[in-house]
Amino acid sequence: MKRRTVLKTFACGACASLLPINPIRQGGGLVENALCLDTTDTLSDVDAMFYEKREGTAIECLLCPRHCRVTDLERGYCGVRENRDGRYITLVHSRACAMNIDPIEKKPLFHFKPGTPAFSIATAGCNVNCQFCQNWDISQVRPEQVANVELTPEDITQICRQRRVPTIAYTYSEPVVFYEYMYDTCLKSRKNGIKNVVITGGYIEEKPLRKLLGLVDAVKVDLKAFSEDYYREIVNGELQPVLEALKIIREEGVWLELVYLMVPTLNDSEDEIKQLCGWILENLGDRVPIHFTRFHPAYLMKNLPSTPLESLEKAYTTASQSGLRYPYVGNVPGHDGEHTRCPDCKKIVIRRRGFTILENDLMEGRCRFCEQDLDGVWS
Amino acid sequence: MTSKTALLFLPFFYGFLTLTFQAVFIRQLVSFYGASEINYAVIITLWMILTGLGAWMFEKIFVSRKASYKALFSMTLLGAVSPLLLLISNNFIGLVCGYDISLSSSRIYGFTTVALASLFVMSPLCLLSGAVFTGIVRKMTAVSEEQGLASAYIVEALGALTAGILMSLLIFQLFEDYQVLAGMVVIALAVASTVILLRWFKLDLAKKTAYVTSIIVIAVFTAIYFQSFEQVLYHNRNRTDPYSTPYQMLSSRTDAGQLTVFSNGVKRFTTPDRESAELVHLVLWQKASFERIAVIGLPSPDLLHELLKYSQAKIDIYEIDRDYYDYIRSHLNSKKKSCYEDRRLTYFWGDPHFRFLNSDRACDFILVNVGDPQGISSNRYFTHTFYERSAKLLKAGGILAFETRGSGNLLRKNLKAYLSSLAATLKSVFPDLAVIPAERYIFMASNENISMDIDVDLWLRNKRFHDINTVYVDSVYLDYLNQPFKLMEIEQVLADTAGQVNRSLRPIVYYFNMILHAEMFRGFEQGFMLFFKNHPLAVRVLYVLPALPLLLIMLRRRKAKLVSGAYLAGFAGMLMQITVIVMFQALFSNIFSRIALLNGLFMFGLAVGGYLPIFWDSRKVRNPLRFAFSLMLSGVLMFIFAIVLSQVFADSVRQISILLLAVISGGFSGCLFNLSAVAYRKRFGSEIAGAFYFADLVGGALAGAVIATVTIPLAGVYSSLYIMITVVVTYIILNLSFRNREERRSL
Repeated sequence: MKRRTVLKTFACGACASLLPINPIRQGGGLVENALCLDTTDTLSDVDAMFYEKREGTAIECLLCPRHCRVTDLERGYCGVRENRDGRYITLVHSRACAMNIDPIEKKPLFHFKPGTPAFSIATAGCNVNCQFCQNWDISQVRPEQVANVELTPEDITQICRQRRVPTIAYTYSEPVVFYEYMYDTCLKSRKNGIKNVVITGGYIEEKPLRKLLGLVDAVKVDLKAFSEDYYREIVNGELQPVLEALKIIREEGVWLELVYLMVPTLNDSEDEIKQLCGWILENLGDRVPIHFTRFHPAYLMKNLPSTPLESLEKAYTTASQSGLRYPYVGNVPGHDGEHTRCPDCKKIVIRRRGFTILENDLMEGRCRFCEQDLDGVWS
Repeated sequence: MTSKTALLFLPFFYGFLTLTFQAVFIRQLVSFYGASEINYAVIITLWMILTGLGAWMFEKIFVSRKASYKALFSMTLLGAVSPLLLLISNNFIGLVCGYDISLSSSRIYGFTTVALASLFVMSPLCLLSGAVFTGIVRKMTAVSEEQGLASAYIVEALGALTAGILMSLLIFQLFEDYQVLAGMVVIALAVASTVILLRWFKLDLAKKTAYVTSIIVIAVFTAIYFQSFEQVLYHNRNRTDPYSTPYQMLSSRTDAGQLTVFSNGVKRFTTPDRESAELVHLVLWQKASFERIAVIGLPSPDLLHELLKYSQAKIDIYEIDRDYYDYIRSHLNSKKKSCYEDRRLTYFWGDPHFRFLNSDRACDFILVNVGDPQGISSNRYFTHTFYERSAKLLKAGGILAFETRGSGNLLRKNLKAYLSSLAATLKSVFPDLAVIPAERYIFMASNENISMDIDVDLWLRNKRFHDINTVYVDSVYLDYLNQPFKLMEIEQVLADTAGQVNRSLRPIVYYFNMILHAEMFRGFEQGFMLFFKNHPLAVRVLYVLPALPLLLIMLRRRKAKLVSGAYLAGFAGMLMQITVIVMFQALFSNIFSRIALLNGLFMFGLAVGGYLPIFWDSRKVRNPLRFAFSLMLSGVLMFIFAIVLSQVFADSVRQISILLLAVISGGFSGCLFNLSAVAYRKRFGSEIAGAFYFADLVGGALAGAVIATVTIPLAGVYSSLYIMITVVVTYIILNLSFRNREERRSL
């Protein structure tokens, strides 16, 4: 390197060191205006949870059922957890690549504080690879490939307080891969009376799941299909661990809702829906809401049609007939299957259109017409 | 049939056969997987390399073993039926034995997968095609003293030309792809059998029985298999009613009252689908009153339904494909069909780019409904020129709008670059610009500073004013649209001064769109595209690619230097052909029949140009090189002249000049190839067809790979001129290297 280049590099470095380290907070202030979107190129190096050391510097990640064995300077399947000389770190702690204030109905969580907003965040990475992913541009890439904003758990809590948002949703990509970030944010926000909901594929090991459930108020699990083949070929994951996770969530008493994205020709057969409903009834009970949502072509599955309404309606009917109390039709704004009906008197107690609550006839969690208790977190 | 005629028939037939199979394969790839220009480049590049490889490999075999008639015809037979072997794999395009390269159901594929599948599918035919070419040349050289290589080259070009014309103008209009494929195989069998029959009486009984049995077995197998062939082709997606128009391959699927129409394998629309159609109101609610809306591209039934809610609006629809209109109407119920017959609609058939921009019907809104700039021809609707002329057609304060890809998450770098480029192009014409961050981003640009706003109150006010009833786009949805985070990002995009203006002949937005497509597959394709985007110098380095043979001067390989002429011929030919096609698409349209015409003219030029060196040789022209140089230089000058013409003059002159360019390109390439071939034969008294053919096709493949995918999108169509200059300079240097040595005498 030439002398002039060396001097130039040092000069730049010195200038840079005088600049605010975190331009978001110090340059204008995230806390003050809550909306500064300066991105950062640096990744975090916070210690990861749930891993064990193996021979040499290798480690085994115990966060999800993949159990990635990661050697030095390699990353797990998710692409956001890296082995650095035997120390496993998360690269995305406080590195949000998506944030919005969404209606809670968008998650969808229909039995959790209806009509309220949720501050929704995500980081890059995912532990599966669904070929129809709507958020592939953040879930199927490494954190270096997306725009990241440094947003600490404190920042998130502040934003929620400032904008009077009662809930934080960990969503869009797969929150399991940013477990530590989610965990710390849950800890921080709970102290401030903010609720936490997790929108996940449920592909997680028992130990981390139980630990997390102690801090969250609701979980929505995307059950992609009810067949191992589908999970293997389309999702690149496994069904059984997800089913186990569902049982654990129910067992821990955390509010649970399910989403079943119906992909035409791949997971929409009547038999599969029947089997699914039977399993839910047997293992989770009849009080778990299930949303049969409409698929729209995305990512690698752009060559399939959207789900026909009739398929969704059939699934809805099958679920109702199986004895599930709260089936829904999703992603079809204006459809009758969006409303919450009282399982007793069958009257509509929450009338919806898309994300909008048109009428709410619940009184402290009871049907206004027959006073039947409805399951959910209503206040 | 004399031996010589039979021999000349073979390259003609092979030219015909290979082009037909290539066309069927590409059409199938397009209809299933929505292949883009880059996929074509991959397929054609592989096709050329494999064919060249076949020629080169078998030359060595033919040197040691004589190329007998029997061997040649047997190879023709094998080549003809080789696509059938792939049918056993249960999927014509896909394949059998591996997960990695099987093109299975319902998904789209990256270039790497397409390349691997193409490699598998095309290898037998291409390798055999190259081999037969070499064998024919050797046989011809043995039979007569004539220029075997040069003649075979010309005749093969004529075969391809005939196939191109017949396929595009007649056969693909009358038959489905699988029928064409079956027909070609049967014809190939018949041809080979007939030729063999000419030698029939010389065969003993065992051989006769073997021939008859094998032909019967193949014919029966073909017949049985082709009954279910259509189902095999369309099995993956349960598509129905496949239909080819001159512009696209259409197919559809009906499930429980829901219709989905696919164009070139990719979903064009689903109905009912009110929520995405309702987004059109976000644009129309910018104005309290308006009279005329121009829609570029036929709207889907739901979109049209929403537009017709404005009772005062007259709607002009510009669409190129009348067959598409008929196709979708034939699949709709009477209520939806009636939308297309509303008396407020006026249809303008023909290339929308041409029809609309030459129209004098002033309008309040222009809705560009052509999807993303996925190809050179759709890129035309996102260029400075298009916007400039559209702005004049808009009434004062009129709005041009279109939807394009966006993201609900923070915009990643490449997406931001793409959006910034679109914004920069719009800003270069329109004083007022706004973007709505819906599911897909909606760009709106006005020719006057009317302060377009994405303000919920304004929207709701105008919604009430127009008395529009919507299911999805309501106050909650509109509030949700105005996410402060998204708005801030859009501000950044609009304020970005680094965005490059998109132009027809420098389709940068198309390149960014290709990068965004490649992002889905990560790996090689993404790295390749990003590398050139991030390293402009690397693009310039590609300009010297034709000069690779100069290395041979340093190595003092005399034979190889002459073969380099073929490399340059292939490179220059493909360079010019692609440039011409891109220019044509960029300026006019993606009319496939005209593209076939361009290819036909190229082949015609190739045959004529290829004949010149033989003519000079037979007439004992004393210095053919001088003629050749003057021809080449005049070719280059005309090439420059035609580009200038195409930029300066009216459309008709431009069209003629581009067609002229196609002939020149072919002539240039053919002449260059055969000059080297004739010179080699004169110098060394023999022909090395394999090496020549290989060099020619490698040159062509290299040019195909870099010109279409990198240099034109990133450096503009004029970069082809610089590369052409490198070709000429390299050729001159190569020849000068002979002039000082004994080779000069032989030349």
